[in-house]
Amino acid sequence: MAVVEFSLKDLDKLAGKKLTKEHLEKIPMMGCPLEKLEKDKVLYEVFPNRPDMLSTEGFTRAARTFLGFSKGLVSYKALPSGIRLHVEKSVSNVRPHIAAAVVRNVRLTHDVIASLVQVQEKIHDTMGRKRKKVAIGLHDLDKVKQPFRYKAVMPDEIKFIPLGKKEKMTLGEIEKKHEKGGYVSILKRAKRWPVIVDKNNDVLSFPPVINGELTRVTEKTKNLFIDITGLHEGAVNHALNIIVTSLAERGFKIETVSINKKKTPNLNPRRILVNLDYVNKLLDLDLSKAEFIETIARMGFGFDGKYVLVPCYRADIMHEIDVVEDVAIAHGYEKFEPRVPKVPTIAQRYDMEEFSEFASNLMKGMGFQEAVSMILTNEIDEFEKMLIKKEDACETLNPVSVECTICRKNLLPSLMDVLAQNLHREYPQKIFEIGYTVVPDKESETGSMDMLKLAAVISNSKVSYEDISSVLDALLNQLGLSYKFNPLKHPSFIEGRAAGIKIGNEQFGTIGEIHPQVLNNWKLEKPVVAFELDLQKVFYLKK
Amino acid sequence: MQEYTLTDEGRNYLKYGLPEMRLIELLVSGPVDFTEAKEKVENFSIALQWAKKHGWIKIENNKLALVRNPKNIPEYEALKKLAGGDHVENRLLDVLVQRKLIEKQRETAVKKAEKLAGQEVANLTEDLIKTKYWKQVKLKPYNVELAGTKIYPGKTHLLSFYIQKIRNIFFDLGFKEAKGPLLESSFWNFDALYQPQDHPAREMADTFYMKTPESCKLPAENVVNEVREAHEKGGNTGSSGWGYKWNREVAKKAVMRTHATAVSVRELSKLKPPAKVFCIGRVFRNETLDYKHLPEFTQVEGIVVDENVTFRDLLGYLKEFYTRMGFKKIRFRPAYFPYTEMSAEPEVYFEEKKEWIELGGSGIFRPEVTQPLGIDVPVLAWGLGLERTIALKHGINDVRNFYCKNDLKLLREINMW
Repeated sequence: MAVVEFSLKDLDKLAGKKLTKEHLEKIPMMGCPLEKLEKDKVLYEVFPNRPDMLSTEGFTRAARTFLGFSKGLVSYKALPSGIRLHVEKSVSNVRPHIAAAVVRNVRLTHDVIASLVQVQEKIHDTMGRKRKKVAIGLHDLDKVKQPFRYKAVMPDEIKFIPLGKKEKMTLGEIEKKHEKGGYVSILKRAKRWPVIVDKNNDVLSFPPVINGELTRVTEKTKNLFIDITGLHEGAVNHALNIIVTSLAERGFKIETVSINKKKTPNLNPRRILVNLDYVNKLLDLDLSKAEFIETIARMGFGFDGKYVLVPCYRADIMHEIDVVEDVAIAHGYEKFEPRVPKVPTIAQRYDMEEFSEFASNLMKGMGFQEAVSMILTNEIDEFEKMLIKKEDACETLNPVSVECTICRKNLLPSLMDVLAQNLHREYPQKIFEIGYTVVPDKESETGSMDMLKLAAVISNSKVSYEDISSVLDALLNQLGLSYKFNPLKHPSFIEGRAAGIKIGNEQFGTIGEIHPQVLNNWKLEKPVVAFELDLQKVFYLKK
Repeated sequence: MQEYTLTDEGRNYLKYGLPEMRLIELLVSGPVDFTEAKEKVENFSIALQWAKKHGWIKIENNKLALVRNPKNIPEYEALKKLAGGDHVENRLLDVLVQRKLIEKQRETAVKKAEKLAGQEVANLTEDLIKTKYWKQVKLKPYNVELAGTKIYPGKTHLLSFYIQKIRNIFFDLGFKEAKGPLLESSFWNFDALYQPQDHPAREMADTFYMKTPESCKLPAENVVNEVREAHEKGGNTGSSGWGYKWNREVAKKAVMRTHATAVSVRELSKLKPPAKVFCIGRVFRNETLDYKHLPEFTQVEGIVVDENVTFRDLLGYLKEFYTRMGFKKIRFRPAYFPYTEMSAEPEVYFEEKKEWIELGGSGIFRPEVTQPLGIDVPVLAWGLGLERTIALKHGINDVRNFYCKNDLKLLREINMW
């Protein structure tokens, strides 16, 4: 989630008009929730499909047409700068793509710099995937000499003063000593690391890690050189277009850079064919062609008589459906009247769910409070505290919390936890849960199987095996099952007070009085009797 | 005085004779057809049972015949004696009790009741009711304003209550209920939803990946290929696609499903339009548990698949759903999800908070999602996180109280209606 902050003064200046409170409150209907409105600034959330709105200039450009201050496609021009950048093959297996542009006659006021810093940072975080996919470098062009070279070098092959430092460092030293050295991990698999150097082999940048101090951009900078490097050609070009068109909105002059045989940036609009019937059908509207053109103009699109012209900063338009959504937004979501549904289909209940509801009602009829607990648990709760030897379980790879290392295989530990959380609540406590466990199953498609179970506990100063066995007896009788309890040794239960639940020749669960060591492990102070039943197995047996 | 009185049935037989007596009367003039006797004698089966037991009659060739005509009927004589207050031998008393013609009189009960006559009593006893002595006592008034002992009913969990409520809403609207695996392949959880393989939502920080099982099987190769092509170049959808090289090994990775939308797309790959399907199930996010964040929560998902559905129908279903959930004011805001276009966030108005609150996500599935699964009509889809909705509705600040902790006080006392 990207929340961006804009100076109201700067917004007004770029919009060419004072934005009222009403304007600022209407802007969210364009697809950017208003987070906070203060005296001199405003914060909006920008969705990941619109990185072009991460800059103050791009945001205002979108708002301008949406609010009706202007309409249609803004065309941007980029004349050749005559500057060349040569890309060496050596970068192809570390960071293959680069795009660049020159921006002339800039006046870097406080607002412009604030916007540039913000858009750079937000693009890095979002579409740049923390600089991995896209990284942006801004340089003072007049400090270096073209032609530039983009090449990969050994970590100790080249030395330069990184931004904010006073001494020269090798790339390897930057990795170890510089506060931004952590970004080297993006390159970790490659032997050689990328650098951009000028004619004299002076380093502009060590992307995506750090720029050189040499080309530091200040308020005095007159001409900018912008490099974008990354792993995805489309994203690299897109990011460049966002940055340069933002600067063009300030009236600065954009120029292209020759990169091998290509030129960047390409600021021409893309063309996409949009079927008006498709738009009208999906939105249940009746737009004429003229109305359609007028509507898309409010989202900054052009029309050349046949094709919709997509501005060069919009990479999210992949399919005509994306234009349909912009038509809906321009039309106004609030204007679409919700319609009473009319798709004739017949309801169908999931039968195991119905069965479990029946079992649940029986348990509630016997005075048990229902509990709902988490499926993810950990080995201590699942095995250790229950005195069960560690077994195979579905195990998470990267839990941020030590509480969530495995999927539960049993419900009883969950209910022990419920009892432990409710030590100071009134007794008797009669609690049950019907819930899923997830167990490994090599044969199945997902390597696992969900199993629905039912467990119940009674805890009070005095409880007996009979208190719980009569409950299970009633439950199984009501489910129309005859069963046998066969004596069982189970570490969670007191020896001689545990049984297996046998239906036909198969085991369907366990019942008994919880072992005092288990009670101690859960810090419980009153005896507990319990059972756990494989409800899913019972369901399939009944079916 | 013996402690027995005649029952209603006993008094009736005393007046009209026992059923076996009437059977004998019928047979005195010769054997009678079984069916005829059955018709003519009231309480025929009782008559037959006792007459046979005494050896007075026999059955031959479907006819009933008299073996001997008893001079007197011992049970009947005993009834007469009891009614007259005479002594009856114990053996016969037992038979009459067994035949429910007499019952033991609780002499002591009468005596007990008699003693209470004229007094003020607290308890209306069984004795008083039976002996009708209640007419002669005064029943003491209770303090009816006093609250009784607290009891807690066996009660549905707050979450289950809403799950049932929502299931019923969907059934009323004609939806089919679906379920899907909790541990899911990245393919169904992400790839089939056109989420690019480098999408931030797929990162380790948000998603539980699995060590065991590490990977899942992919579906049929044609489905895999369609999805791959949609990602790479848009396939046959007319889309440009994401423009990257799709990796099947990444798609195989096992995850705890991050949304129930995984179930919707699985269903989508199986169904034929028109169809309406919903799923309510647990989903997982790799987060540390706190008052706002749950590593697990419940999601409500629905899809509507039909040639003629439009954006307005999406809003219509959502409005209908939220209205039935008890929300009066609903509005829709633009939103973004990688797998829907249009995307809309429904917001409902909470009177207590005087605030619009976003309660879910919705949209129309992108063609890059539906076409690889063989669906070429619009698919309306929405998802809603249930715990947050419940917490807001009931003013519960810490979701953990009813979910992970299962606070018994809260669960026992909360009003769900």
